[in-house]
Amino acid sequence: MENEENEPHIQKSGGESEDAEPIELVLFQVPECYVYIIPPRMTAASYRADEWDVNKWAWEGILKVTSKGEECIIKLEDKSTGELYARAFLRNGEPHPVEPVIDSSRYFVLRIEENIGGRLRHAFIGIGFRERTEAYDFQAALHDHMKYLNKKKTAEEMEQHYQQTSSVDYSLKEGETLVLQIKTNKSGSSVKSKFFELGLNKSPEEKNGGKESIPSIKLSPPPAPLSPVFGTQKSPTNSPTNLSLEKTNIVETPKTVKDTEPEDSPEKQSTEDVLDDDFGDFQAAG
Amino acid sequence: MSRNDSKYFSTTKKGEIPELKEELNSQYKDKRKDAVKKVIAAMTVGKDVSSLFTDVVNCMQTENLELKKLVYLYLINYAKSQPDLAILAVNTFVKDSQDPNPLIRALAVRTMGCIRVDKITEYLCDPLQRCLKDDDPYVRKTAAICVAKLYDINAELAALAEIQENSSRPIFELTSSTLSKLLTALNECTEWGQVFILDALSRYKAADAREAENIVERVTPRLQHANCAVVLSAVKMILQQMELITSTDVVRNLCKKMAPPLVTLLSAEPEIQYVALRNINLIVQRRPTILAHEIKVFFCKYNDPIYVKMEKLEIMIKLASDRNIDQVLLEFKEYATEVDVDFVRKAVRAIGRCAIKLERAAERCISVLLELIKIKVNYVVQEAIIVIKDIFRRYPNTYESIIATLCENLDTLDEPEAKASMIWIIGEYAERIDNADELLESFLESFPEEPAQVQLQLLTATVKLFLKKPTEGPQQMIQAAKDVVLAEKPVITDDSNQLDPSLLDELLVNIATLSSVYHKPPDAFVTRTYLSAQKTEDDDYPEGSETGYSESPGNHANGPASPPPTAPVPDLLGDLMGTDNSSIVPPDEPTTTTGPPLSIVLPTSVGHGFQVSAQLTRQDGQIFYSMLFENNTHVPLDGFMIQFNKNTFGLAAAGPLQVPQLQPGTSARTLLPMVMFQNMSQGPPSSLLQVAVKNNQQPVWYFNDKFSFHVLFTEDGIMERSAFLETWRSLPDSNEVSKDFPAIVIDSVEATLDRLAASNVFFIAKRKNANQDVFYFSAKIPQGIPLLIELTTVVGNPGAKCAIKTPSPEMSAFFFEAIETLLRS
Repeated sequence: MENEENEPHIQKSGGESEDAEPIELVLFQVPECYVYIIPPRMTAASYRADEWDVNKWAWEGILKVTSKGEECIIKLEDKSTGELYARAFLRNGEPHPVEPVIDSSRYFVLRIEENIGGRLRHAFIGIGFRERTEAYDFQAALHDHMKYLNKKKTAEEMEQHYQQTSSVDYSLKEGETLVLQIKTNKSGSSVKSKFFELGLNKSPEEKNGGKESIPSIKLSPPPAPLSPVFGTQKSPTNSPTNLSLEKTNIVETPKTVKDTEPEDSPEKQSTEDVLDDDFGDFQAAG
Repeated sequence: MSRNDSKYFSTTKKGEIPELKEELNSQYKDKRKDAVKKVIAAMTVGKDVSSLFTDVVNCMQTENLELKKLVYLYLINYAKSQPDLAILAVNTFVKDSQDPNPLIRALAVRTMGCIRVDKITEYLCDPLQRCLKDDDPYVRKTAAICVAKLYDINAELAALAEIQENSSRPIFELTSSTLSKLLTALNECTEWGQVFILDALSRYKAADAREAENIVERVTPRLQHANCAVVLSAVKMILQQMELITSTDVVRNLCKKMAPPLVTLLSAEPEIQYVALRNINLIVQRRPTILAHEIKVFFCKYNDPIYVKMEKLEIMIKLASDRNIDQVLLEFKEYATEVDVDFVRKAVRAIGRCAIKLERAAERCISVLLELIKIKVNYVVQEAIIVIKDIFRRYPNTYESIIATLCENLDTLDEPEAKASMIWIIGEYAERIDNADELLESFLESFPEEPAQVQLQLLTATVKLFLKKPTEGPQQMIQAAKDVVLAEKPVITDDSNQLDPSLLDELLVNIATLSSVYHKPPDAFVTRTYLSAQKTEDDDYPEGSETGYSESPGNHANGPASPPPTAPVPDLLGDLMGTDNSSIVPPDEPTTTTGPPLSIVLPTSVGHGFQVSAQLTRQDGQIFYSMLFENNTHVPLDGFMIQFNKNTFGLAAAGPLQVPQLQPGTSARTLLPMVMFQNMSQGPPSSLLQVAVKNNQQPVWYFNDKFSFHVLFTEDGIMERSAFLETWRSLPDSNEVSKDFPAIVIDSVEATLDRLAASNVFFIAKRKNANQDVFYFSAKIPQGIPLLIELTTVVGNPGAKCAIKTPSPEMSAFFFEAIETLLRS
């Protein structure tokens, strides 16, 4: 029922397949983000949020960080209509579009891009978050994307390395043996020294047989079976027992089933049926 | 309640009941509403505010919907304990069921259905009848659900209502025209209406592939909905119809279309992510191609909750393939160095499972494991031992040299599973490890303290070592043992987390329900009431009822031996014992729908309102603990669990206790399957069964129960006569125990034999001995232990003697109790 996609090998090395449109994945989303018109940077100094009027924002809406293939887009969208207000691109090898301000953890400078009349233009705006955790998660999402790209590259390198290099042989060679040292909580130090000593003694020797005999395993014999030993077969009693209701303490002897067997001949049993008694733990109730 | 209402929970003043009473009768509406809120808050935290019943009910006459809801909530809680006062509310319910506001109409009907007082139920029929024909669909839906509740409360009343309806047709039948109309309605109704329609239609079986494609085409737009429930219901329906679509192109396109909405669910809150992940886990087991190229969406974020991380890890293992394994391994390697130890263990194990799953990637997985091992984090190394042992089993004689690296980086081997895995490795490769004997000896030093899994591995490894490095012993025995122990083993696969195909089918039908989140079929955790007739075999019949009996025929054969004056001796003996000539009530009792009454083992007074009745029973060869839970407290009880102490036959629960939440005033019955020889006790045999029951609201309750031995008799207890005779002879005389039952009277031989056979005590033969009848029976208890029984009595006369022969004579006391119960009943 399932058909595996047999992709040509050439396309594989080229990266993403053209058949599969990459899925847009939301890495981070916050419903309230504030946009500020910031003064242009006059010197090489970093941006400071106290130079903005943080209580007077130019726009307010949703900030969304999405990932699509290898591209990461920071979008500012209208709360009700979802219309795009502005966006920024995080691409590998290009300047980072997000720059934190030096005097607050909740404000950043964002380099937004727009294609106007075929020409790519950019501008810098200030953005602010209401909560510090939102600001941190925003940075973490961008970092996750960069980390993902790095890992993807490393994975591709790993695969190529695996393709080109011959396999490492992890198997044991013919006749090769090992000597292991294992530490457990309950092993004593004397046992450790014994291991070390015996290990050293054994490895140079080529012969295992002859004079040196491997010590036998000391296993205690299994416990005796708890089932009772069956006595010898007794001949049935043929005489009817005179039993009246007054006698209450007479121990019954085994009786023949007289009416069902007119020919009362004892049967010989070559081997006794040994019952598997699993009730060894029980003791006599009386 | 809103945040501002939290102040209602902080009232601690004394004498608040009279104060609340005064406020409830205030002439100001807002004050009355606040008072009802306080009452609800007090009720929620467990205070007894039942004395305010009348005052609260008086607040029902209001136009305020919120206040009405609060009063209804109070009524649901306390109607059981105040049934007479609850009647006062009926008029308001009936009136509300005709209110112009459909919300109030539905609320009234639903509330009446929740109140389980018989008198309320009687008044419910008329409003219910009316609301079933209401103009508003929400009211009709609520009324329809209420009919089902009414049936649960009072089946006869519901049956009468059904007759009154005079409807013999199925209410909701899916035909192609119905389907078409519902698909059209799909575009017009609310989001929750869409969920219900899609859930209903998902069970429709299309006639052919073309119809399935048409259905799917009309459902596909629902995948773009903002409501997660609509998306999941649409996915469920598409998955069902895809089974009928034969075109691979269509299937592939559908898989492509289903991927983005599923991925979007993973951008929601963590709780929704978890639900989506649990459903995706099922979906990828059936259709891995849907998300095969989207492994990236399951990479864990730093702020994912642990339950989301664990589920993402599970799905990544299922989606791992030769194509994405390098990225996956890099992720797993990073996860294996995080701070959460359980997550780290799962990541290490995930690497092992990928190695087993993907043969071509196994070497790369080994490399990653070796890198992790060299970090020397002890729990990582121990977890690696476990997965490497499995890799050895999957790829024999391929990667064994890494054992040395493993041991070099191991600090301490103290976890049972890792220890067992290491022991397995030593035993399996004993011929390649020079000091295998010393290693095993060091492990054997702590053998008595080790858990069972380590002990078992030690035994196996020791035998393997002996067979691989033999010193002496008969060659024939060695060869035979080698054939068994060193046989070629089947290659393992990674199916430890795979679902059974039939279970997967059932869960896919239940996508977007609790079933798909729990990965259990619905009946595993939702109790449905089955009305089944049960024979009351264990009932105690009233004694002393008399019937005439014919005198036994004279023993002509023994005439000379027994003179006539001996005939009145049994009657005199009966007079001496002070018993009448009572007869046995016929065993067949008319069947009831509630089953036999259970003995109360935890009374209400002991359980602070929680009562348990229970009895050990046997049905169709299975032992059950039949239980009845009753909630006579004022709060709902849930989270029921049960535990059995060690006992003579090792009786234990075979599975968890499946009891739903118990509302106050309600009860629930359950049949708990039992297993034997799990909780064996070491002391003298006893029929005592010590039980512990707990719930989330109360402390653990302990009680003692006593089980009757005949519950253990198995269905294969019958013996051939020759086998009976042989067994009797083979057992020594010391194994025979006998006992007298002076009060037992057997009037009807056939009835007695039938009753014994119903309890798996089987009749073998009968003979005469002087003027007495001698009967022979056989029975068997689990593990095949036979019981041979000889019963001697005079039919119609009191007094019987029973002798039993068994390999386990210590069981005789239990048997005598059981046989006395069976003969007396």
